[in-house]
Amino acid sequence: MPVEQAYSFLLSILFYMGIYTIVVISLNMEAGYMGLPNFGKMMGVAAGAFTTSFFTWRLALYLHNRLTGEPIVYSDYVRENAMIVSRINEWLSASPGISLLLLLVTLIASLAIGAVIGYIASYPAIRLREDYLGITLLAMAEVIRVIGYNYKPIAGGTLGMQVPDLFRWAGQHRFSVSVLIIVAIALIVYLVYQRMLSTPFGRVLRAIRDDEEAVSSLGRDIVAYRKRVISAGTATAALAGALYALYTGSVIATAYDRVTWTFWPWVMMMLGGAGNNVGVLLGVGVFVIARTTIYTYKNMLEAYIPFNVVWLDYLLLSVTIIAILMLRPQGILPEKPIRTVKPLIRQNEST
Amino acid sequence: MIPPIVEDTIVYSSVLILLSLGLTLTYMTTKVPNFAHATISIVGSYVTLTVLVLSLISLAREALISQADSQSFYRLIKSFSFAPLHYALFMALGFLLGSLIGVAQYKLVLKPLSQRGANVVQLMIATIAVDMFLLSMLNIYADKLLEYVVSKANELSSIAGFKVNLGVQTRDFILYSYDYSKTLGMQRLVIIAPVMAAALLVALSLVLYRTKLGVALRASIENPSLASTLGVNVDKMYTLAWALSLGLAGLAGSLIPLKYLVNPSTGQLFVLSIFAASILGGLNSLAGAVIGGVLIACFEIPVFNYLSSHLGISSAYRTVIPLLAMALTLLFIPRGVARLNWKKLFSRVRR
Repeated sequence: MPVEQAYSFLLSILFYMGIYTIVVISLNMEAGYMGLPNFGKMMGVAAGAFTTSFFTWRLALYLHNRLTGEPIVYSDYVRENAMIVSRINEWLSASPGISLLLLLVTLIASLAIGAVIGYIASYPAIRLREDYLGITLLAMAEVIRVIGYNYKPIAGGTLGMQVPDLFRWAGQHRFSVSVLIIVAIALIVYLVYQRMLSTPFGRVLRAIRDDEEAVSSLGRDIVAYRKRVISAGTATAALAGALYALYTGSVIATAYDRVTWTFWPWVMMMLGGAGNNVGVLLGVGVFVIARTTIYTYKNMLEAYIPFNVVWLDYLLLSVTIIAILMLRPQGILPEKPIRTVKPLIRQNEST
Repeated sequence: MIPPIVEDTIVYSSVLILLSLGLTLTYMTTKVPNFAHATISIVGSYVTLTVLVLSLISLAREALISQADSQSFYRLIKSFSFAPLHYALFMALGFLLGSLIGVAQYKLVLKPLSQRGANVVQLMIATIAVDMFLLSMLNIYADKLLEYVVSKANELSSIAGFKVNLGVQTRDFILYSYDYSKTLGMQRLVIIAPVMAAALLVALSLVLYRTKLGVALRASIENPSLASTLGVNVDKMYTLAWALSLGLAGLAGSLIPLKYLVNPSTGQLFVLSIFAASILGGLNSLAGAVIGGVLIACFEIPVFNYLSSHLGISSAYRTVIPLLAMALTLLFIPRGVARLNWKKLFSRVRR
C-alpha cells in the first residue's frame, strides 16, 4: 500500500536523521570546533553497538533468570544467542518498565565504554600534529572493527549477534515508538551540545583550532582539551551506535565501516558548515534524504546508470567532498563569528 | 628450497618498501598523508589482471583456431604462465598508470585546494575522497571486466563447440599459479620483488643524490621558497615526486596479486601497514621508510606467526600488528627509527 510505504520511508528517514545527528554533532565538536581530524569516527559508533551486543542481552538474561521463576538454560551463549534473545524478547514484550530500564542502562554503559575507547585510541598521538592523530584514529577504528569481527563473544563474529528488542512492548507501534525515542534523544544531544559549545568551553575549542600557541600561552592545556573532546565525542557516537543496534535488532561487525560511519558524517558536517550546529542539521537532512531515496529507488535508478548502483554511494561521497572543498569549503551555513559584549559597549561609547 | 614463511616475508617487505617509500616522498613534498596511496597501488593489481585476461583470451583464440579439442584446450589454459614480457608489461603499465593518477591527484585536487588555502585536515579529507573515487572506479571496472570475460568466453564457446571457461575472477583473485615456475620450484616473484625493490631503491637514490634533478627535488622539499628563488620550478619538482611515488605504488601493486588475494577494497586494509611502515620510519626520511617497511613486514609475518602458533592468537588479528607498532612508535620514538640517536641509546644501555 502506498500510504504504508510512504510512512515507512518517512520513518527510516527520521531514524537515520536521529542517528546521524548524534554522530555528526559530536564530530562537529571535534573537527568543526576544535580542528581534530577524527577519521576514526566509526570507532565510537562501533563501540556503542558492541557494548549493546555484548552487554545488553547478558544483563537482560540475568534479570530474566532472577525475576521469573524459569531460568533459560544454554550451553554455548554465542551460538544459542538467537534462541536466548527470542525468549528474552517474549518476556520483555510484557514488561515495558524493565525494557526502558535496560535501555537506560545500555545507553549509560555505551557512553562510558565510548569515552574509555576514545581516550585509549587517541592516547598514542594525542600530543602530536593533526596528521598523526588522524592516521592513528583511522587505524584504531579499523582495529576495533577487526576485533569485533573476530572475537565472537563481542558481536558473534562473522554471523553477528541478536540484540534484545527493548521496544517490543509497543506492539504494532514498535518502529514508530523507537524512532520517536531516537529522535528525542538526538534532540537532547543537539541541545546539550549547542549549550555546551556556546560557553567559554566552546570558545576555547575554536581558539585552539585557530591558534594553538596563542591559547597555550594563555594558560590552557591543549592536550587536556583534546583528550576531553575526543572522549566526549566518542562517547556521544557510542550512544548513536547503541541506538542503531537496538533499533535494527542485531549487530554485525561488517556493518560498521569507514564509509558509512566516518566519511559520510564528515561530508554531512562539511556540507552544512563545520563549526555551525544548525548547519550540521542541514547537512544531515540533505544527505540522509538523498541516500535513503537512492537506496529506496535503487531498482528504478538501475535503468539510468551503466553500473551497479552500490558504487553510486562511493562516487557521490567522493565527488561531493571535492566539490564542497573547491566551491564552498565553509559549507552552506558558515560558522558565525562569536559575539562578545565588549565591542557593543565600545560602539555605544563612540556614539 | 626456501621455506614459505621466508618467501612471504621477502615479497611482503619488498612490496611494503616500495609503498612506504612513495608515501613518505609524497608526504615530504605536500605535507599531507595520502590516504589514496594503497588504493592507487590496487589499480596496478588490476593492470596485472587485465594483462592476464587479454593474454588468456588471445591464447584461447589461437588454440581454438588450430582446432584444439576440449582436453588439450584446458591443458593449454592451465599451463599458461607469465613470460618475461608479461612481467615487464604489467610492471611498466602499473608504474605508468599509478604515476598518471598521482599527477592527476596532485594537479587537479591537492594543488588547487592548497592554493585556495585549504588546511591539512581539508587536504587529508580530499585524499580520502580520491580514495573513495578510485575505489568506486575499481569496483565498476571489476564488474565490467567480469562481463567482458564472460562475453568473450561465450563467444569462444560458440567457436569451439564446447563450454569455454577461462577460470578468471575479478574479485578475490590470486594469480599464484601463473607465476609459479616449475624449473625454479617456486614463484618467480620471490626473486623479482626484492630485485625490483633493490634496483628501484638504487636508482632513486642515484637520482636524488647524484643528479641535478635530485638536488633540485631535495631542495624543493627542504625549503621551497629558497629553491624557487634559485630558479627551481618547485611545482614541477612536486609533480615529479608525486609521479614517482605513485608510479612505485602502481608497480608494487602490479606484483601484489601474484601472491596475495586482491579485491578492489584490499587497499583499505593495506593502507594501515603502509602508514605504520612510514611512521615507524619517521614520515620524513626515505631511509626510514625502507627500514620501516622491512620491520613492519617482519612484525606482521615471522613475529606474528610465532605469536599465533605459540600463544594461540587467531591469525585474523594480524591487522592489529601494524597498528601496535605505530602506536608504540608514536609513544616512544615519535620521530621514527631513522632519527634515533643511536649513540645516545647505546651509551645509555652500556651504563
